Amino acid sequence: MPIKNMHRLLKRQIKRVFGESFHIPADWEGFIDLVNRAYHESNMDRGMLERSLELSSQELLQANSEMRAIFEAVPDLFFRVDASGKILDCKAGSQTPDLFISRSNMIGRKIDDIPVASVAWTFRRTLEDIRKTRKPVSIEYSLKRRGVEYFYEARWIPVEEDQTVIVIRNITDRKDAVAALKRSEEYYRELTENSSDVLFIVDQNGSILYASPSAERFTGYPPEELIGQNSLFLIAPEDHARALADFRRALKITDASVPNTFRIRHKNGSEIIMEGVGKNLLQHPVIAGFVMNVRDVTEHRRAEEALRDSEKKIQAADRKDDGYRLDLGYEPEDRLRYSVGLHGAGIHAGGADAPDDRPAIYAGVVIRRHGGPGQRTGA
Amino acid sequence: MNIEQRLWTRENGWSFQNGPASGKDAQLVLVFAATEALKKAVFFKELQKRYPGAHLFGCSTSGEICGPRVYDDTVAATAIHFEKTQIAGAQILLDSNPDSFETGRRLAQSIRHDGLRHVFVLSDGLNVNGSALVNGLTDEFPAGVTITGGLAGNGDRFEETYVFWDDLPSRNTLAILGLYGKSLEVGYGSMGGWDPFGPERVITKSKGNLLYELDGKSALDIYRTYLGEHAQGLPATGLLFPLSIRTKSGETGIVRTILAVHEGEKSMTFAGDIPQGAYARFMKANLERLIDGACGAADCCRQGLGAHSSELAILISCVGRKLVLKQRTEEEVEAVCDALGGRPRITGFYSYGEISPFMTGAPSALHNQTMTVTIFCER
Repeated sequence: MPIKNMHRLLKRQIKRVFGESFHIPADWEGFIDLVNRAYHESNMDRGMLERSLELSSQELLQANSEMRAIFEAVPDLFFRVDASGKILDCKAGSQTPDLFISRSNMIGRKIDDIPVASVAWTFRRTLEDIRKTRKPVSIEYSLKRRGVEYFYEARWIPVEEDQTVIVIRNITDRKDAVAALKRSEEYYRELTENSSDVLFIVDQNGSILYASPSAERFTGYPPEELIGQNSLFLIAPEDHARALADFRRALKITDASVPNTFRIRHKNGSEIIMEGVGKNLLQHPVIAGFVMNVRDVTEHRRAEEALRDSEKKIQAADRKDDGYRLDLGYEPEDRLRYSVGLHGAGIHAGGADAPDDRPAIYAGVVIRRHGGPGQRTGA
Repeated sequence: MNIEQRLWTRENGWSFQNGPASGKDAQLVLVFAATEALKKAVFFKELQKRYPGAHLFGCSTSGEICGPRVYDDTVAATAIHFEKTQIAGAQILLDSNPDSFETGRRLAQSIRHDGLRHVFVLSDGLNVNGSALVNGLTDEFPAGVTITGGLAGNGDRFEETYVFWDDLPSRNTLAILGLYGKSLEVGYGSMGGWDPFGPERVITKSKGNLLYELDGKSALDIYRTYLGEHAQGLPATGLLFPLSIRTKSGETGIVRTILAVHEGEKSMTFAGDIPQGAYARFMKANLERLIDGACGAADCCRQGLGAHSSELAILISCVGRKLVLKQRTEEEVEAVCDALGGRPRITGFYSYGEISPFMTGAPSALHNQTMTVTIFCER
């Protein structure tokens, strides 16, 4: 029975050795069939091996390209060192800044062969740690060059065959930025802590997200007790409805600050009046809240109210006074305009910016009658 | 130890290997056979009749090893008479929803532990997570008891496997042989000879011995790409690219091979654990290295046995090696025979997984794509 699908090479070899007209004897067929199968299997194995190597080469090439792109994109210096710390490879991308280390002649040197003793010691110790633990380590160190201190971060990652990859990054800018940020934070912390104003940030429902340290001075509550509470709990109950309505209106305004005044209840039960402006910064990516800058105007408002009370009484006396009154000739509105709030026993004083043709200080003295005709006194 | 070996082939029926011996006194008959042969009760009954005082212990295979030769579609029976060693054995059925670790514990509990020297396990080859099974066995047995064995095979079909201990061969079955006594010396070794190639991938999705994704891509699709036209032969052709899996940096990878593919959920069942987060690389065969690996396993065995020369060797080699070695399969068995010398009787089978310590003193583990050799002698 002739062998099916005989391999070309086997066919050629048989022809070359036995001649064109050779026919395989029947008792050879089993053997030739095995040889033929071996030829085909070899072809198949080779094909599969070549295919798999080609595919994996493509994958590795792609991974290599990606890695190269990463090297180019990051401002880091990469070292691969052996267990003794000898540099086996060194790579740097185009974004890597000058690290004051010459990249030439690095291969073969020790990673801890650094002129600065303290850094060399740190590197040696880190290498020993890595050898023992085989776990990644991150360290920071600094080097002084020409009077300027430069900071570096070195990440040590153990890899195959007792080797370690070290990724070094100059973090001086980051350190400077962190220091500047710290200074800035301290500056603003001092400002808010010592300010006579209180800063509240609330969310769209009025829940307090932030209260400046000065809040405690005015409300009796430290910031940590205020944060998370709804701001209404500070506001006097009789002002709740108005405060809510004002807040809802203010939420609709995003391009201007909105002034407001409200009474708040101090932790000790007393009531203080606060006045300030609020601004809707809910959409601000960092603040994301409604910011209120308020101050205690209790004394001021009380003085104003007392003044108003006084004026009302004066007006009432003008209209219905059946007692005694010393009138210097000014109309009531003039007196109101120049009043500065000197009150007591009915004494009323005018301001220094009174009309030129009038005395700089005037006094109207009303001697009220208590249950009878008033007494007149001089001024 | 007295050993008689018989082989049944379709062409010649039963025949002795190395001549008849005192098989009548055998306490144990190891039977490794093709699935179709085992399904016929006639073989089992013939062996029971031939060796009335012996326990019958065996499984279906992907190729039978008898002496230095490898057979398909045969029954290889090795009858053993131990002079000083006692034996015990049992078989259990898998639960409907098997927990392989618990199955291992249950199997271990099925034999007595006093005086136990060595355990040889044969397991269903398709529905067991071999890693968990070995962990369960190890968990239950006293320290010092060594475990070797294998997962039953079914040619390159991956459809049904059979195992038995003193009962008709059945599916979803595991069987155990316990060897007792201080006179027994056991040596073992397991080696692969496969080479990892291509990129290392992260196992991004897996559960137990089910693999879903590598580097976020379907593992099944990656296999298909690499196999090309041979993908239609999955799961058998998947054995051409086993996975080398490592969990830690610098760790030697363990080898895992496919048992089944699930098109619907795009997953693949492996013979042992595929830990999520571990790293995997494809492996390729180098025929010379496979044969050297088999030889290495035998050398390792001999070192374990010290000055004693082995009388019986059980070889369990992976079906994946047979698929790659093809006509050269016998070369690895010959290499083992040469390494062990002429004395030991050789039996064994091609499996879906091998169980053994890598070397003397190491814990037992499931291996794939290895030649695993267990040798015995009585002092």
